[in-house]
Amino acid sequence: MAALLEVTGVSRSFLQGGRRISVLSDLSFSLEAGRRLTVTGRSGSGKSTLLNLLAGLDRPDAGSIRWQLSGRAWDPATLDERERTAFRRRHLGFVFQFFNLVPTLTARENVALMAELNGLDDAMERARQRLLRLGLDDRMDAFPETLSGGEQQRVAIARALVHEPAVVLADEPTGNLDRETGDAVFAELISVLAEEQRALVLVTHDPELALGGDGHLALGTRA
Amino acid sequence: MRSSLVLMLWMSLALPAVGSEAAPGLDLGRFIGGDVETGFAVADGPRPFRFPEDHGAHPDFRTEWWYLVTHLTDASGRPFSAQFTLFRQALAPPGVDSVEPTSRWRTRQVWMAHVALSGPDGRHQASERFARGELGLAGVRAEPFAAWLEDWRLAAAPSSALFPLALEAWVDDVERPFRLDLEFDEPRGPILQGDRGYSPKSARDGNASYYYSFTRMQAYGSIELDGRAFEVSGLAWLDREWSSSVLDPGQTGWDWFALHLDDGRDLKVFQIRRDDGSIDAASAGTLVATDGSTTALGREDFSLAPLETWDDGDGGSWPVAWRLEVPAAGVAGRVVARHPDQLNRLSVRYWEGQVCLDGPVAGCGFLEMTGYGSPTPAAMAPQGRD
Amino acid sequence: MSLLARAHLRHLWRDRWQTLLAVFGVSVGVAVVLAVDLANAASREAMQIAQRQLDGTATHAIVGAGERVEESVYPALRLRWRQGDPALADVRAMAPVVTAETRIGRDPTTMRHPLQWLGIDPTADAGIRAAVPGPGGGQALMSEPGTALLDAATARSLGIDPEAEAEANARIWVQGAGQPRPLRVIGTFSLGDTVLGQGLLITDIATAQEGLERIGWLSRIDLVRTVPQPTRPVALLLERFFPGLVVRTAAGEVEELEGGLRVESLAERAADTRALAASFQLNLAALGLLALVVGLFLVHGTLGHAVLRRRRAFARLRAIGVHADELRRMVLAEALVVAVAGVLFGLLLGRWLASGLLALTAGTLENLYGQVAVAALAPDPVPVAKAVGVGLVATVLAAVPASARAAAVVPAAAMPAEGQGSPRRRHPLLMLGLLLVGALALLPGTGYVGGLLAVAALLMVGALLTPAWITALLGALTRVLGRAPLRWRLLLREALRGLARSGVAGAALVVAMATALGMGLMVESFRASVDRWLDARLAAPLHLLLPGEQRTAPDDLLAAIADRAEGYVVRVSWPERIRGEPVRVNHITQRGTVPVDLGLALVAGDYDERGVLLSEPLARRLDLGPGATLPLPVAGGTRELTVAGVFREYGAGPGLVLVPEAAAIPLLPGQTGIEVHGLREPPDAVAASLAAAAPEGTRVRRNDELLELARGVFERTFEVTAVLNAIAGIVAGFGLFAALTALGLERRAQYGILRTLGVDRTTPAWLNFGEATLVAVGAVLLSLPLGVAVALILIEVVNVRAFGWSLDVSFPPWLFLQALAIGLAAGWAAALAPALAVWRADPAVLLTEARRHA
Repeated sequence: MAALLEVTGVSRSFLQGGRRISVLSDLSFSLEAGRRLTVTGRSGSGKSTLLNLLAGLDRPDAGSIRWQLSGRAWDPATLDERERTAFRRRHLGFVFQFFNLVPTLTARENVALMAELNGLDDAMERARQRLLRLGLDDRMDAFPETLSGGEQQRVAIARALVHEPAVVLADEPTGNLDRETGDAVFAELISVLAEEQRALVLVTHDPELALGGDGHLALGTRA
Repeated sequence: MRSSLVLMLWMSLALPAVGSEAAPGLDLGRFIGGDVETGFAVADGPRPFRFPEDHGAHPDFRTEWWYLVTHLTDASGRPFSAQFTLFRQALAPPGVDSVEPTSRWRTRQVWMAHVALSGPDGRHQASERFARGELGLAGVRAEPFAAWLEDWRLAAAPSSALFPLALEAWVDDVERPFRLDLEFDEPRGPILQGDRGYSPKSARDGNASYYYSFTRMQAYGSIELDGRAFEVSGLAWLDREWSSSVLDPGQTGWDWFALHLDDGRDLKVFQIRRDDGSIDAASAGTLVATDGSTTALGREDFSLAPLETWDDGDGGSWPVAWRLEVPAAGVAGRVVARHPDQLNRLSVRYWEGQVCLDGPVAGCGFLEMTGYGSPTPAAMAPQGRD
Repeated sequence: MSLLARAHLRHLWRDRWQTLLAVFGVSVGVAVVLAVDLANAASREAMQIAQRQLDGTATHAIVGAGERVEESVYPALRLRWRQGDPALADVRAMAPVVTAETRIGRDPTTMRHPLQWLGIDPTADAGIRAAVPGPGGGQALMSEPGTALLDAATARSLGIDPEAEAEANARIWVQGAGQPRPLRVIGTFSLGDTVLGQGLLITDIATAQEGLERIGWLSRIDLVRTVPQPTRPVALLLERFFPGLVVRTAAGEVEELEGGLRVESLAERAADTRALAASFQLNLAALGLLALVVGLFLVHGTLGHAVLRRRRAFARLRAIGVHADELRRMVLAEALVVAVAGVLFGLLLGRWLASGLLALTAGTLENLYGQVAVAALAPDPVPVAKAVGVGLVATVLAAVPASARAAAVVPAAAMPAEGQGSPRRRHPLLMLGLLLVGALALLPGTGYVGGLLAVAALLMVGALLTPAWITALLGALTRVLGRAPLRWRLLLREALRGLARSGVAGAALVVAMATALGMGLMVESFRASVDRWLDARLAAPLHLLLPGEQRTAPDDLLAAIADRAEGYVVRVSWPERIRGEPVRVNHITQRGTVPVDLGLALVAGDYDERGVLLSEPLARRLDLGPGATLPLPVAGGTRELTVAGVFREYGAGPGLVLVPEAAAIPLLPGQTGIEVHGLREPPDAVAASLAAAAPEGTRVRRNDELLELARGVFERTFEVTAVLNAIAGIVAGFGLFAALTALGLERRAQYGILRTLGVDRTTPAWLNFGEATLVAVGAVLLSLPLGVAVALILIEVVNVRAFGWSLDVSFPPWLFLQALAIGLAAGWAAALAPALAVWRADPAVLLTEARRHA
């Protein structure tokens, strides 16, 4: 089985206060389809940078990132802005620490947005199905500000999956939730991903979440 | 000599304009120190006088005046003195008139009149008026005689050619309004001054005037002051002079005496003061006998010395008592102003007032002084813009 | 400085672009108020200087019918005065004057510089007018025909160096009775520091009579009377504070002398002159205030939102023990900082703006009122003080709602979510009150100020209504687009949510647009009415204007006209005063076939040969209608004439009295014009042959040329209002720009997420544009009916009451489309930069902000 993601010798550094700070240095790893990679590290260790690079929001100074999706290879760094946007839209799902739902759209509309962006039929129906699955039957037409944190993150998970991406990038998905809710939401995420055979790149500093992955990448420890 | 006064008056009237930047491009140079090639008629030698025509205006000469001074008393001996003067000034020599339809206001002649009165309490008041010589606003007619500016009027009484002369003047732009309603009579004919009425002012050609006087007119009539009418009588002196002559810039002022002597003679002397303190050689005089015959007096025939001065409160110091000696006339005494303040505070300041002479031959009359004020017209004249 | 104050100032600095926009709003408002006041003050000052130069110490004038006095009256009057005539008892000086407004140049073909030609008698004038030399200094003026004194500024503008060349007797040409007249400048005088648009030329009275062909006539006889002239420092100060105000001392102080002569107070005549321009100046000032009000919306919006954004911080401050009043004071202090900065910058901007405005107002004043206007600003502390005061007070007042909101924040350690505040706050009572004020202001007797007040109340209601209206509009759209793609729903909801910020900007846009539309509709109605009026008024294909002044046209010219045309109308016109109102009497003689009613658009009564016709503004000012009796001063007395009709007239100058020949009044020499009707040959041929038959200097004009001229004047007249309108519109546009920029900044995090999810870069930009469009469309839609209402008040109330003009309402549809287009353009222009910023933004950076979001 070919690797879903092949990262080879990636380096990324930033200028900060006139000094060059090396955030990622000669990083290599790979991810198989349907598997879970956990990324851990201190603040500033390059977790967000790595996510940005994977999503094509940023380009590496050196090395390559190769996605194998829908039967072809993608290197976000070689795509133009329009293609990168289309790539994210079609192939990636996102879950953020602060949920980041669109406040002026209802729960269902937030989910339907991704389906609509991908030109799928019955966007609203797909969204309903997704939300039902996550147990949000009676909260579908509520606006995000009236939802609890756990509900919001469930909506976010539904949004990340509605267009059936091959991989979900999750950035501290439980970071803004209490332990109990966080665990429950994370469990649901893992169960859906497993069922649908989708890969997950999970960025977290929660050691408990870091335990269950297929692979583990610890950033911030200099080679 | 009073032509100088007239010229100074015009110049001083121009001066506020010079000072206030509103200076017109006024050609004062034509009037001071200029030559006589101006196109005006000039007095260049004795000429026959023709009356009544010569009582009227001579518009081709630059300057002319009708100058009347009188000193009077009422029934209870209260003294009055009064002045009426009409000046004529030609602004331009006779020339070609405009070809356009001409405005009736178009004129070459400007007229100025002064009226002054000193009452028994020594209070001196004077007023002035100006007018152009058109639309009947001011003028002089030879026969029957009339000289007027608006309603100030010196004119032959009804149905006479000249005498008796009547003076009417109502002055209400002063603190205590007054009215002069006087008549004058003169049994003698005009006294021709200088050489048969030709009066040279310097060695220069044309710097001379035609000059005649009535030196001893009988005056009577009424004076109204403070709402009271006073019946008065006394003597009066009328000077008539016209010329186109100009003033010597070195002359700073003059002292001019016209006295009715108690013995029936009339005495006129004047001296011109120069800026170097000397007395101008043109200073002179005339002694008129009772029969009207005249004796000319030269610079050396009389002496004048100031004795006392009066401070006018504005920095001017005016000699109001003099020592006068005219040996040929038997005159030797003090000439003292009846009141020190007989200053005409008009567009130009000059002292014109009643004085009396004591000594072997006494008399009363008029003294005119210029050039003592501050600033004096004479001192200002050379600064005038040209 | 307290730490609290420091925190607030840091907030101003952190939000510096928003702060700058608020400062900008105040600045532009203050600048326009100041500029209008300075321009008005300069015009007024120029008029007063000109008046002082013209009148000197004279307090009254003896005038006769047609503003003429026969010259022989003068010596007689002078004698009577000297002899103590009781009627003239308090006269201290008396001086004849021959004067006319004319033009001057260096050669006969370029006589453009406007000028007052003053002919005086130096022997009588000494001591009355400072610039007039005494009889001594005036001797050259008197003795030499064609000599003149010229004010130094005019001399310089003609290229004459007052210091040097005047001595060389520079030659100038002056228009006199239709002919160029050469004059020699023998001196100059200064009118002080202010440069007048109109110069002053002083000549001897004889030169003036000859040059103006006024032989035998005086314009008036000036009097210096000892009547105590009320010194009116308070009144003058009030006039400077309140444009449009003309304080009069005593009403119609006119004494009749015999022979149709009157003694009039020069102060009253000056007040009449000021009153002519006052309503125009008031309109300008109202527009200036409008710019300030629109600017204050920026302050209100910025500070209001700044408070909203800091509610959490305020709640924490309250929690740790900061008093509500302290927060209120701090917000007001922030406003004061904005106000001070805005006012300071506004003063500079206003000074600069004023010079531009001055040229425009000067042009209008000259076109409309034939009045002196200035070419330079006079330093005047009053408008500056007023602008500073109005700017500071208004800005702080605009911050009062925001400060109240800050004070109302409940102390809390934390707040659930960042509140956006409700944009749906309505003020039904306030709106009702404003409507009531507006209605009361329209009641009769409130004058045109009442009309302007009603307009202001209406605009305020519109502003208050705007957020609710746009909310309702968006709600309706949301319902209609219930099943539309998500991005549409997103747009509507985002727009609704943004109203907290953009609502105030929308309100500013509504005020600016409604004003612009109202003015535009009014101007269009005006234009249409004027066009109709001009078409009728200039119906005759040829118009002749004879040079100089005469009682009738030459017989041979009239014979030549009769040969070539079916009919003609001769108008001889002269200036007059009726009950203190300046008028022009037009004596009408008609021969042959001419249009019925002479082409007059009658608004009341009928054309009747035996009665007089009044122009509408005059009829309103005199309160005379058909059947009433008009006391018309004529040579030798006053004639009682019946008013037959009232006709439309849009000239702003003196009112017109048309007197048909049949009324048989004694004619005075006047400006003579002939309208030639029914040409029997082509116009140009007739024009050529009439020009040959007419006296030299006669102007022969075709009506199309005159129409073009008249319309040019009309257009120039409204240039100023258009400029001021545009400024208010630009300020409103900036308000919208500020709101959209702020919204763009606040949505960066959200845009970051959307971009990360795979939304392309055009969508956020599209959202911004769409939002701007919705707000602009909403504002425009509200401003359309509001603008119509404003226009109706302007047309039916303000114009009638201020100028006496009745206009036909004419609302061309393209104006509404234009308003829509301008509103959209403003919205898009305002949205362009923020949308571009979002479009350009790097999604990774946006996402970082989203990650940081708390």
